[in-house]
Amino acid sequence: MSDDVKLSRTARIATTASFALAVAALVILVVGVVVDDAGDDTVKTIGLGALLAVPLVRNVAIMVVDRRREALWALLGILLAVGLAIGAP
Amino acid sequence: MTGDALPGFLLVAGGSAFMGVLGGLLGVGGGVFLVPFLIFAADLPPKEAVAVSLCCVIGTSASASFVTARANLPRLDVSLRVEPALIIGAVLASAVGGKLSDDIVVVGFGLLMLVIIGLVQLRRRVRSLSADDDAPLSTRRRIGLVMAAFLSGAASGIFGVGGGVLVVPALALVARLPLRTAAATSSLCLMISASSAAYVHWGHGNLRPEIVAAAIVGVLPGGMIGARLQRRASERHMEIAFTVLALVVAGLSIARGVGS
Repeated sequence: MSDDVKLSRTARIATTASFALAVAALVILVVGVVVDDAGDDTVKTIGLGALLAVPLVRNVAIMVVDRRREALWALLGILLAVGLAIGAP
Repeated sequence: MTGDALPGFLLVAGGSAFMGVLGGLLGVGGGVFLVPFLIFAADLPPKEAVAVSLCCVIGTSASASFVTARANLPRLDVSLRVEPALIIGAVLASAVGGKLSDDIVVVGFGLLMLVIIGLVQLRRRVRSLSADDDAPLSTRRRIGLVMAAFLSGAASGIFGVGGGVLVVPALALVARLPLRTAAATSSLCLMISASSAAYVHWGHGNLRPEIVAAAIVGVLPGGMIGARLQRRASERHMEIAFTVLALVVAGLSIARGVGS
């Protein structure tokens, strides 16, 4: 199997790191559910933001360290989604 | 968390765990059963159920990718090629889905379940095909994959399913990947469409962090347990169980959407 089509060591590390980030985001979310007062969603929002950022972080790592330019298109797509979320009425 | 909120948290966490076991056991992912559970049992508005399910897909895909990447199963080149189409489908569909009425979303989910029943039957055919783990992608195959990824992203964006039930047969049939490689590649790329669609739903105010927390706490371990149980289960029995359950969910969804 050629190295080009399979995951490089960097990509495997990025995948492991993204799982660690997802777990950390989940912990922050649960902590937020416990500690946030009614009407105050600060910690929960940080946890949710971290969870949604998991694929973004993974693809940035793959693009920058693994020099996979194809990952840029997915990154632009996610940034478009973030823009739509911010610009939503 | 106030004492009043605890029973609701436990209901969603427990129910999500069961849906995760079911999704993992039947090999269709948690979202297929999580969305109807959140709508019918937890009484969540359909669009909020979809948004919560998308967040769960990020968690379960990250977990599945972690396991399969260690075994070097996913095809990164294929994943990176289909990701833009997945994202475009997911973002467009979630933006459009935000404007649809709840009844249309629920009826659409019921109809999607019928399509998924057909796709699960297709998996048997996929297994008998010859596969090449190292196959290069011809232009025709690339176009086919991009179209399938767009549709899968759209289904994910509107209905909150992971899209694996659509992407895996496409990767196996069009790209001729072995089923295990196709499943590993799909979990690598599906978190990106789920995340994009979840951002759009967040912008529409459909994401409630406390429900997301409860659902992921349940569905993540539930999915892992279900996947382990699947190895011991009879494939034929699982197919029959899935078909019956999916028909019930389809019937309930269509009846609720049409009846209200």
